[in-house]
Amino acid sequence: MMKRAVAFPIGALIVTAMTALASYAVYQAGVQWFVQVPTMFVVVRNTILVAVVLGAGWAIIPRSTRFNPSAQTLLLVAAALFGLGLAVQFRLGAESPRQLTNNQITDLRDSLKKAMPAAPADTVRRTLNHMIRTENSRLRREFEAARQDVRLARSLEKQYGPTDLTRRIIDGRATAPTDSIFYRLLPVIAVLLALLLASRSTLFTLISARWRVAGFYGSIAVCVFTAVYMKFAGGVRGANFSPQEFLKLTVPVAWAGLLIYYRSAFLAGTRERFAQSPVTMLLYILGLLTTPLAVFVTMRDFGQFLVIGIAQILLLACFARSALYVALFAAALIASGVILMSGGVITSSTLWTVCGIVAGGALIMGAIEKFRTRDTLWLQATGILAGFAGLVIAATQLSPVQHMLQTPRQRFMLWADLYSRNGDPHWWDNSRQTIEALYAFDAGNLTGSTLGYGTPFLIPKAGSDFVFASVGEELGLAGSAAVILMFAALVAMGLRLARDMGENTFPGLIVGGYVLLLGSQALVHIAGTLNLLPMTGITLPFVSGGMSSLIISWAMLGTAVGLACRPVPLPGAITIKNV
Amino acid sequence: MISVLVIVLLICVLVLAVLPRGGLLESLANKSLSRGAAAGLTGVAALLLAGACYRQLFYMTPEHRALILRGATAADSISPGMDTKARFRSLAQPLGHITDRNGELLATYTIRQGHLRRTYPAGNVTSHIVGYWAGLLRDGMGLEKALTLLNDSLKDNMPHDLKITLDLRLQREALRALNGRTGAVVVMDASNAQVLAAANEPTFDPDAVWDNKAWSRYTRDKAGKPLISRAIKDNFSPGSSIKPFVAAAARTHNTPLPESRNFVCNGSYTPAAGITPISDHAGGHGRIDIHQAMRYSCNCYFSYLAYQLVGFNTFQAYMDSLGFNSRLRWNSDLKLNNFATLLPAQSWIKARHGDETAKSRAGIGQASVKTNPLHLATLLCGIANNGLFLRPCLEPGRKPDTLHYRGMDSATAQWLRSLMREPMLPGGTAAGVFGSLESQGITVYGKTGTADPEPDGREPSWFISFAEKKDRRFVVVVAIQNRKGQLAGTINAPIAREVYQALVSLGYFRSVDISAKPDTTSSSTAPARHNSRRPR
Repeated sequence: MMKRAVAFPIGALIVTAMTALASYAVYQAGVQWFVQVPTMFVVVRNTILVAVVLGAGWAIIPRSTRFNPSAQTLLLVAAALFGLGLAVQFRLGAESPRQLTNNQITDLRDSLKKAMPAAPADTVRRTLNHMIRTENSRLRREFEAARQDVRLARSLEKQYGPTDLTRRIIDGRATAPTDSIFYRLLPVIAVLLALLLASRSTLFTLISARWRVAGFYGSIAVCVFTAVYMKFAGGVRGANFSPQEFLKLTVPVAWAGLLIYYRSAFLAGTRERFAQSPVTMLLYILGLLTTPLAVFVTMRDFGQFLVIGIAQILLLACFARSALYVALFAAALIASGVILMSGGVITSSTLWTVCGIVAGGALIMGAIEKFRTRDTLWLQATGILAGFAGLVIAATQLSPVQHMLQTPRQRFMLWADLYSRNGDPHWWDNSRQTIEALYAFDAGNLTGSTLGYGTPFLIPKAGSDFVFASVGEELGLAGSAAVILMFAALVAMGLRLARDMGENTFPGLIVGGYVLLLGSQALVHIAGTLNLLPMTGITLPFVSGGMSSLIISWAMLGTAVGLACRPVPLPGAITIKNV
Repeated sequence: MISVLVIVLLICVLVLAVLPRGGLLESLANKSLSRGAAAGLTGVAALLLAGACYRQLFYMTPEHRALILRGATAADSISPGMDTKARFRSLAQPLGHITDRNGELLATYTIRQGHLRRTYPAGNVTSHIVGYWAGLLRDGMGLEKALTLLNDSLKDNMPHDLKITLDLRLQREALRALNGRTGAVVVMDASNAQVLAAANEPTFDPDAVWDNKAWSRYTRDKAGKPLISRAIKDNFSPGSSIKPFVAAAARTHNTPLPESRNFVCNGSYTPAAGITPISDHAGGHGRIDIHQAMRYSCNCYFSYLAYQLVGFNTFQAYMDSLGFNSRLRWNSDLKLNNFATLLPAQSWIKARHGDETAKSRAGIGQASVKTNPLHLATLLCGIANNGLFLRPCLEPGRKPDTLHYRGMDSATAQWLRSLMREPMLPGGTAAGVFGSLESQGITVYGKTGTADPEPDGREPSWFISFAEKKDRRFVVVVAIQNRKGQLAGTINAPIAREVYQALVSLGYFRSVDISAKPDTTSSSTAPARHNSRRPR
């Protein structure tokens, strides 16, 4: 077995070399259909970015805790994914100007409102959506045409020398916005800053007792801010950055606080809390259960709902040590999924299904508790689940929520039967993304079509929502299996890190929450691109191009590693005297 | 190769996460990872891995499966939900077959690697005309691109089979005659300007266009440029093959011929002071008339005629009236003229103001003139038809469409015919080459063209010709990009002879059998009919 002191430098070298090679492969492929001309500069830049993450991270981690194997593995694996992602982004070129920008959409909406002041908001929204769609398709067509013109002009110049016309076409071409190095540096700065703060700052010891509060209010603040921002930015599609990502920083803190505060109930499996203040307990659990739902309603983001819900279940599964809560949360997630996917229209069959799930969940929970403590929680479990299901049903009756449910529901129907036309005239438009992704995987085969030689750009949003399909096409099963295994290693070593920080301590739970969020995000993304789950438009942490997602993923990882690598460990569980 | 290395390095990172002290293996062994967490994680990872395996190794869409089960004909490849947008990747395209004039398949469908794909049975023989369509990845080329885009615009979205005027056998023979030399052969039926063959060398395999590696090989071949059709999209210095048109210009403008000015060829001609002399072979031809000048291809004579007597500007204006410096367009129903890959390159004649050297070389087809093989073939068709110019055509059965080239009346054309016999006569530049054809009653008219090296390093040679037997007339234009020091009479003319032989053996010169070819009969009487209402 290799010594730890050697393993990290070797790993860092391998990861840097991998980044350089992957970027160089793209550069060397010199692909003809690139939006951006591949430059050597980007190869060097990608390599430097990854090297800086690894080198500076290594330098920031305090000397005494530098050889923590789990922390090292986390850094290495994340950096490798980042490097691969940089190469894939490079290969796909910058986001081409094929859709309206945020500002343009705002202008469009303003002019629409001015043009039809008496129209109801719904009409304006529908008109706006229609205009955006037609405008985007026009832009795409124009872009293609311009690209072909430039190509023709180039070939003419090669043959006959430059003329006024060719020069005009080539000089006036639509250039993709080249992002500055500072823009690409943001995630690197995020991880280094998070590492520095979490591993060295005394701030964390000072406020650790109030983290729970910070987590709660932070989450609420993020939700409110996102709701307001989305209102003004014109929906998820119009937004330039996704503030809902910040929720991933705050929500695990709130979870950890709750788990610690009710540790006797969650961890020991006793009924003391229930016996002492059943109402508060019920309210807290209901609060936990409704977090994903609240996220969905305020964020208009079904993907985040899935990610946070799954992460919650996993966190409880790993740390609560009581199958009761796992069963409770799983049943709640399934029930809310069924209700949401029925599109807000509650038919009798949906109601029966939900009742079945509630009863089944309660039955399972009761049996588990009976088995563990020779006591049952039938009543409480049924009450919680039924209350939650009622809450979800009530929420879906609101018309804005019903409106929001259209897209996820459509996705769900697509997933349920990808090839059913069901008389849908827009069948191809709706399923194209998923089908293209499946073709991409199919084309990838075992070893892929080598970097730069595949056609992943045919998938809409290949760089962010479908980056796993891009990897699958160009690196084949070998590459995609490597990515899956890397995320598995990341989660495994992260959980080990959390466990090593102390059995169910506050910082340990936070680290666990972060890692499980990353893991569940990867799970939802990968399963979505493979069409094992409905497509939700969630990014793959560290690999996808979405900058908000990249920054937050790196901040989460930096905080987790930093907390684990403090020279003096943080105080363990909060002692609550008056429990 | 590099991608494999990348994968290997990724696996190395994984190994580093698993193997060393404190790694995954050890933490599993000493239970620092709880059993439930380890089991759950393994389960999820295994599920995703299984999904990835299925999608990448065993998955095929029901669409593909259905298409293949139904037997892959073009008509079957349409399903109502997948229209034009479905033309990504390897999805079937609702295109018809393309066949040559005898019904030989040039483009069709086959199943390859489990996918329905457009394939081209004729391979690289007709690749530039038929072209390819490989989804939106490539630009597309030729008829395939035209058909695809045309199909998009049609509402019925049904495959339209297409028959074109090419003769695959003739095209093969022409390619064989070229024998690997970079160049082009254009064969046209003079009676209706149908293109019978347009062979190019080097050529490419349209089936390999899907393959990224082959594609980059084609696009990176800067010397050969296999993706450019030399017959249609390229032009060369015509050299001496411009000389018939110099003569025509002189006659049309009633210019006195050099012999009436007591012109004597002494082997070198200096158009004006300060201009590099134009040299001919040592000793000169002496006092010659235009027939002899044509026979020996006398440079001094024709540059004197074009530069001194006709004048560059007049000559340029005359050539403009024969379609130089403007687009030659197809006689087409398929909107072929909207597609850059099939639109012929412009022949041009121009010189900068005051560039007397370039101007003085216009008469011998150097420096200021470039011609396109297809355009020259069209002009030769006009001469063969006694001055009736027809648009080149790729679609059989189309009504011939006249070109309004006002430069040549039938008397000039007939005079040009007599001039273009000269090179075949004893002492001419292509003397004795066509003896075997003459013995079969076929008269060949033509002109060799041996150009000097162009600034871009090309050194073209030409043979422009048409052959006549009773009412059957066919045009053969042979252009070679690099003659490598040889003369047109020794390389181009034999190629033309082989092409004529192929025409003979394929029965094109048999006028009795005309009725057997419906698409040629319908328009074989066209020239006579059009002659009467020809402009001017």
